[in-house]
Amino acid sequence: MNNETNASPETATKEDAIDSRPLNQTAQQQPTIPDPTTKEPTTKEPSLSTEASTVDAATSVTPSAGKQTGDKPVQDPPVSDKPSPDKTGGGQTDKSSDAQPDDGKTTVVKLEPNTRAVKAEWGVICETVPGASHIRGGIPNQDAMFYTRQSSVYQPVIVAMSDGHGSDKCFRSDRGSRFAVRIACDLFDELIGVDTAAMTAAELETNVREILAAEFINRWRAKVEADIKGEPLTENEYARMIEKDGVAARKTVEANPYLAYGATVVCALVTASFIVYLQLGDGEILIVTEAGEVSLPLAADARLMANETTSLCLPKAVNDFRCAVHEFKDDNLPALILLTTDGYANSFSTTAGFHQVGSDVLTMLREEGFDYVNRHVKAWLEEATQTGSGDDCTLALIIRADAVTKGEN
Amino acid sequence: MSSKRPGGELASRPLHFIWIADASGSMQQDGKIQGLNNAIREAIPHMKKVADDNPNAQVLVRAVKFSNGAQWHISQPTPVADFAWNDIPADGETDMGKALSLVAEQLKMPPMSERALPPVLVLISDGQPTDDFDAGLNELMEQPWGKKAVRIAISIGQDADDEMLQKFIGHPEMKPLSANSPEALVKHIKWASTAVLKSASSPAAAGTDHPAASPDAAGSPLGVPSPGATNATPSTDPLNAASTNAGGAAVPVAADPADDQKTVDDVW
Repeated sequence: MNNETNASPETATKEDAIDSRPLNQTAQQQPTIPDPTTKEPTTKEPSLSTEASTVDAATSVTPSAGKQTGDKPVQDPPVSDKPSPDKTGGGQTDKSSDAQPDDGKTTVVKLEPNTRAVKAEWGVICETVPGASHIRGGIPNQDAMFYTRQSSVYQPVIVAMSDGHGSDKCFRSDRGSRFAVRIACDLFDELIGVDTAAMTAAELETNVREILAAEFINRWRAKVEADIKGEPLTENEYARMIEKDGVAARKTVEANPYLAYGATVVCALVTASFIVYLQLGDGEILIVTEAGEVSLPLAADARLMANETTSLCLPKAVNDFRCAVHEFKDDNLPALILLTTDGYANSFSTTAGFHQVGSDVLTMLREEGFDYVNRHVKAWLEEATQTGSGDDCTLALIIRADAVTKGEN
Repeated sequence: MSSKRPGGELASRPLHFIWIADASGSMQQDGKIQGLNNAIREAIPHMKKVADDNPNAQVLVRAVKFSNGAQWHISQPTPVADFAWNDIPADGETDMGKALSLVAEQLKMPPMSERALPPVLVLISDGQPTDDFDAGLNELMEQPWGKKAVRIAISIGQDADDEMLQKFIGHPEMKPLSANSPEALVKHIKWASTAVLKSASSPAAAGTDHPAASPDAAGSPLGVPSPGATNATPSTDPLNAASTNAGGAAVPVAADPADDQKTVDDVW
């Protein structure tokens, strides 16, 4: 990293200081374990669980200039057709062959059972396609997605996606998005290891919003810094940016090299007791009830319009996370959770038309089955980007099997 | 559900392009109004070509004229493929503020949608506002889409109120484009309706995001290719300017090479 990048702006102001409490502390408590911000991200063995199954949705997490970042679709087997152990792990961590060892630091710890635990079967479908306008312009898919789960069927389920910015200054955003989804899954895995039984939903939400979010930013910045150290921003990259954006853009990126990797993150953790929704930047999360009612778990952010978004690369990014914790009570589990980058949502002529995706997919799952949706989701995204926004489109469906089969019955 | 695809209707993202044209009596002098009519008419084919290059943006064009009061000259957002320019006559005062009020009304949500691309507003004038300009500008800037709009101003002749046009642009580094001849006006209008439109509807804008606090958001949210940007010095720290930049969308107008023209052909 050059001198300019060392002058990282996020440490310059008091407001930008990162909360460094461990994940199992409430906002009022003092840390009792070493400050996570003072250590390097831990590299751990991939699995401590015999049921571990981690699936890497990315074709590669290797940072390399100009490499295609379109992520390979990854789908769970149909929830109605239990997968064979060898297909989903069976004691082995299933990662893409080119995943880097330093990224495979996920530690999977079984969730401690507690009185709120609800065991449910969940299926996952994830897909991403490059944007139609990106294809025309020779721009790679800058979205990334990643999910992990301990069991092939049951919770916990972790799904993360990220949208790398298309601004000329964000010329390594495909890498930034890949870093983001891996970090999201790592952190949620570590959260699973925390005994949350004694926490209220509000306390857990506070922990996620204040501590996990801060750690997220720390790790993402560390990944970016390591990437730049290993492969400094090149004159060719600057030249391409300057050609489109002017000479001043170079000073801007040199002052904040994180900008080159700018990306959002949208992620969810489904455990036996609760669901955590976490988001920074644009993208959408929809939850669908068994009755097909669609709602948004996170409050809207009025700043997210006109192609502008909050971002991991901004100095005060830690303040821009949105979070919600859905604690299971009685029979209030969602039937379906949808996560998507903004390219898909922006492809619909109206917001209502996009929300309709939630109830329509639930109907399809019930009437046509998991396999049908699994086979067609890529075509849906391709049609959306071609007819709609032109942007990269990524969609994840987290499906409660019981809610789908109920409909069939 | 009418088909086996979930969700409602798919559609490209709308990009509203609005001409805000001075039709006051002073525009009759020296053929300025005819120069304006000709320039916009000449720009239409170029706009169509730019729009054709990106099917994921639906360019919708309208026009407001202002003299004694302000009226929509073309009130319906018209797909650029169907857009035709009828000459506007010139007569009366320069009620620029009322024109901005009209535009502000149309930038509310609804009728605007959140998924729209940043609108492009091009204000063209040769004189001093004769009404409450600030009131109209305030109405415009109260709307989120007014703040996010790419705001271009072209001043015609020596009597244009550059101070007011600068306030409309709302960015200290961006200056009104000065047109002192029909040729310069044609070039400026062509630039606004092609380079700016292309950037607004290009993959870099139509299909991607940029961080809200980046200089993209500060000066050129659409990443308009800008030779002039080489001389631009951010007036605020781009790393800590999220709140101020969020509303400061404008295009680096120095990008128009025609702006450098000062020739003996100047007639206005």
